[in-house]
Parts: sequence; structure tokens; C-alpha cells
Amino acid sequence: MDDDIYRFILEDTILHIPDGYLSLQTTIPAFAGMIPVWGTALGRLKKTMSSKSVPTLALCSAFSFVIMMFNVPVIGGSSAHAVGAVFIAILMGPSAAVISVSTALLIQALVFGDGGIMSFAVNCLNMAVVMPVAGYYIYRLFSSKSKTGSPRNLAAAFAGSYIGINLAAFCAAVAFGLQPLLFTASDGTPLFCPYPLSVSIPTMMFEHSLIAGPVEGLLTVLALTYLVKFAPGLFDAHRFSVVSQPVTAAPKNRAFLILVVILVCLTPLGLFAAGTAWGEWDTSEMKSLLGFIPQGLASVSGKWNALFPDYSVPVSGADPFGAAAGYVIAAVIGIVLIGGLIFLTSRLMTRKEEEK
Amino acid sequence: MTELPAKNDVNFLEMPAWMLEQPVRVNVSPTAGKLHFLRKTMKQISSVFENEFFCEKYAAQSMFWQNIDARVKIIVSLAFIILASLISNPVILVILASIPLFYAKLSGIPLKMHFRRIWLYIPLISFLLALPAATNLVIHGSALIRLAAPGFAGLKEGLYFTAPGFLAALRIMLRAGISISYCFLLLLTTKWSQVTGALHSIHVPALFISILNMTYRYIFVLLLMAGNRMAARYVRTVGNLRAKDNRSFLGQTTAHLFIRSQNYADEVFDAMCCRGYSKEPGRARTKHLQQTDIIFIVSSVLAAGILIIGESVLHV
Repeated sequence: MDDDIYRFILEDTILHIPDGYLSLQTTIPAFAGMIPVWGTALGRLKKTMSSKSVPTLALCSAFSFVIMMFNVPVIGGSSAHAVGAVFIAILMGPSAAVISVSTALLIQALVFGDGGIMSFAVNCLNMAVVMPVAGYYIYRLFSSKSKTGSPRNLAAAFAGSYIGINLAAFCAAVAFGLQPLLFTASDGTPLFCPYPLSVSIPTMMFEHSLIAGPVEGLLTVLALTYLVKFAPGLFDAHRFSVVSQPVTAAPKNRAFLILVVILVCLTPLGLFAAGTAWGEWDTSEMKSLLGFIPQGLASVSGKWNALFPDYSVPVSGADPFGAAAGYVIAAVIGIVLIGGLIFLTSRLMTRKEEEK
Repeated sequence: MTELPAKNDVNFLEMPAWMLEQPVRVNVSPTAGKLHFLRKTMKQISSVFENEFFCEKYAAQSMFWQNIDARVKIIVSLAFIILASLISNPVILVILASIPLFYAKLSGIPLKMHFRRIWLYIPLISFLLALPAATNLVIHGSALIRLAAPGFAGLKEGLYFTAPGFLAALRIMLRAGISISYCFLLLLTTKWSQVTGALHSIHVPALFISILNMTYRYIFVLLLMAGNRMAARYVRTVGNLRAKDNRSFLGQTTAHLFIRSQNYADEVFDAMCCRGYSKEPGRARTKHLQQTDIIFIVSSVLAAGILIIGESVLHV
């Protein structure tokens, strides 16, 4: 039972979020977000895969399920679980990984209660989308055109797996940590996960950066090394992905990405700015500037409580580090939301043009 | 017929000395070494087979939940799981959690097994995991159980479980338990083919259903393969192995399973073609709802209504 508790705390609760921790307001939008992702992944696979698609994807899902049951030895006789999502993405492509890991997670949730039914979409978002997709593109970016199985290629696979699982854990931590901020009873008691971001993020990132991340990376590298030696054909002949093709999007967008990262890193400069930005006055500042509060502003004031008031995300308190982290997180969320909106708009417009 | 030597015949009774020695107990158990991970993995693999055995056993019976249409069971289970997320009063949540127990009893599922498989694992651990938040360090409120006196470790008010904190932990446990209860009840009383057929009839894409069905089938094939590899390693190893070698073994097993799964995919596809696979996923036949299904829906709606009224009354 001790082992079970350890496993559950370290792995299952963290990534396989059970029901009860997340509100419906979190889980239902996650379903709404995941349905188009599953649709797109299946659509892509239909286009690229051969007629063997169904058995190949099914076997890949079964493989994913089995991998999640492996206990990988860590230190002092203890063990941790691997997910294997990035390994599948490297060999089969991110779309196949999305479908395979989602299917494995559904069976785990339905048959074994590992991960909740309502939190299924959030679990898929973390482990079947964020982890394999981010891990795969990190792998592609770092490995570039290096030979499969070369030290650089394997290091890229390790980095992809390590960062992939840590990003998944970060997303789960954010989902946990937002609950007490957003959903409380009238007396302030949290209705769902009680741990704020200041607890959930450090706890989960500590474990994943030190234990689960290296385990995931190592297992991917060891398995890839074996495959390179004994089944190199699988790298060239895999059905859905294009590992051998060079990354074309990355160099084109590299300058843009570097610029965005620099801008995000510069956002804590806002801490040094004295006073309030022009137009960002609150009602008290407005009164001191104008001598009165406009009626319209007075009526709406207080109705909207920003998610991150003054960009102060409760990551590690109000100290300078915490405030800077708040600025960076707010910038990343803002860029992702706006970038996503622009991307969606562009896709919709392109589709309309194509229809014409 | 040759005559047997007499019992007092020395030659007959004489045994080599080494055979008469008491065996010296040498601790060669693989579990004594660093093979604990293999034992745990094998235990988990066997639990999957055990689970499948129970599912087959109880789904084949003809009792209360077994006789209800799988579509109705899925929708009612989902509705109660959603209801559990919406309800915050612990009393109502306890009532909601007790409903699957009645269903289990009426469906021939032993309550002891039902309780052990559901409440003594994930919900219990969810509760334990939420307990640190039930202290005055995270959730403030009136003291329920005092853990440390004021002034302990620099804590002005000391350390204690608060009543609202305890209720918050209890809520998490009950919601997790309710969700798992309905899933287990559904799977223990419904054949897998009926579950996926019902999913298809509620407009889950047929391609996904095909993948889901085949995955479920081949999970057992791959698990058996992985289990055999683990067992072979386990019984052949005496003493300790380095953790590095064990990780390397798992890496090789992962790669080996992947290769085998891809080979299987090709073979399975050929077998499917031989049997007339049309490359279009099959469609499940939909049945009309029976009178028993309608009665079950009405009773579930009534139960949900009572719970919602109870929640609103107790909330006030």
C-alpha cells in the first residue's frame, strides 16, 4: 500500500487527475477544446496514413497503455512510471501520438479509474497533446538534420521527453492551482483542488524535473538506441510522421520566436515603471485626475475581476521573483491566447478563400 | 520378480551425506535485490487480467444493471458524475455515493469487493493528499482537530485541521469515489462490445470506436508479452543488479514491444483483409429502449431531482 500511495501521489494524481479536483467550468471547456484537436489529428491521419491505419493506431494505443504500467527503477529501490508519449510521437508522428495516448487514457479512466471521467479531456490535453506535440517539436528542433541514433539525435530525444513531461506537469499544476482562485464557497473555502498556484507549481515541477522527467527522457533514449540497432527500418518506414524530412517551419520562424522570447523575458521591466500606464487608471486614480468618477465607469467598476490583478500571479508570493514570474506567466498566456486567436482567424479566412 | 532389499539392509538405507544435510537458507530471492520494479509491474499486469476476469464474470449475469441498455447506463452514469461536480454539500454527496452501492448489491456484485476496489484506493488517497490543505495553514476556519499548540514551530495559532478544510478534503474524496463507482459499475455489468456499441450510438465516430475496440483487445496480447519478459528476467536473476542495467532492460523491453506491436499491426491488417475488411469501420446495430430502461431513466431522474432539491434546501 505504501508503494501504491507513493505511485499515486507522484504519478497518478499529478498527471492522471481524478475527478473531484477540477471544476466543471474547467473540464467542460477542456472537452470543447479537445474535440477539434482529436478531429484534426484523425483528419491528418486519414490523409497521410495507409489503409493499415486502424490496426496500426490500435496497436500503438495498446503499446502506450502497456508502457504506462512500467515501473522504471529510480533510486534506492523506488520506481516511477513513464508515459512514452514523446517516444510514440518521434516514431509515429504527433497526430498518431495524440490519438494513441488519448485512447490509452480513455481505457485507463473507464476500466481502471486511473484519471477521472470529467477530467479525461484535461488529462488528454496534458499527456496526449502538450507532452507529445511539444516534445516532438523540441526533438525536431534540437536534432535538426542529425543522423538517427547519433549523440545529438539522442540528446534531442532526451530533451524532448524531459521538457514534454515537464510542460504537461506544468499545465496540470496550473489547472490545479487555478481552482482555489476561481471556485470557492461563499465563506472562501475552495470547492475543488485546495492548493493554490504557489503550492501546486513548485510541488509538481520539483518532482517532475528531478524524477519523472529524467526517467521519461532516459527510457526514450534507451528504447531509441535499441531500435536504431535492431530495427532501423522503423525510423524510415513509419507511417504517419516525417522524421527524415528536415524541419522547414523552424528556421523560417526562428527569428520570430527569438523575438517573442526576448519580449516575454523583458516583461518584468514593468516592475520598474513608476506610476500607472496611460489609460490603465482605476476608479480612485480617475477621481484624482478628473475630480469625479464617470457614471458609466462607476457602474461597471468591480464587476470584472481580472484573472491576474496587476499581473500578480500567486506563484511565489509578492517578492520580486514572484512578481517577475507573474509578469512572465501573464505574458506567455496573453501571447498564446492572442496568437491562437490570430492563427484561428487566419485559418478560417484561408478556408473561406479556398472555398471561393 | 526381483526381491526388494530388507529394511534393515544398510545399502538400501544409506544416503549420500550431502543429501542428508539440512538445507542452508541463502537469501537468493530476487525481491531482496533491486528487482522490486519488476514485481510491481508484474503485479499491475496481473491486476489488469484479474479485472478483465471480474468484468466477464459479472457482466454475464442477468441481474439489475446487467439488464439495462448500455446507452442508458452510460448517460445516467455521466449525469450522476456531473451532478457530483455540481453538488457541494457533503451530506448530499454521501447520499449520491451510496446509490452505486445499492445498484451493486442488486446486480450481484459483492459489496466487500466493490468497497475495496473503489473506496480504499483512489478516493482514500485523494483525501490523504488533500489533508495538508485542511489545516489552518491553507484553509482558515474553526479548529476541528488540534495537531500542535499555539507557538509550535513559530506558528502563532499552532497547527490544526479546520472544519471547512476537512469538508473540502471530504468533498474531493467523495467526488472521486462517485466517479469511479459509476465507471466500475458500468464496466462490471456491461460487456466491452456493448459499451463501445453504446458509444457509437451516441455519435462517437466509428473510426475511433474501431481503434478503441482493437486497442482493448491487443492490450492483453502486449501485456502478456511484457509480463512474460518481466517474469523471465525475474526468475533468472539472483542477487542484485545495477539500477542502470535494470533501466536498460526496460528500455529494451519498450523497444521490443514497439517492434512487436508494429509487426502485429501488419499481421492483423492482413487477417482483417482475409476476412473481408472493407476499410470502412463497422456500424453497431441499435436497439430500441425497453420498458425497464424507461423505468430506470425515470427513477434516476427522480433520484437526481431529490438530490438537487436536498442540495438547495441544505444550502439555504
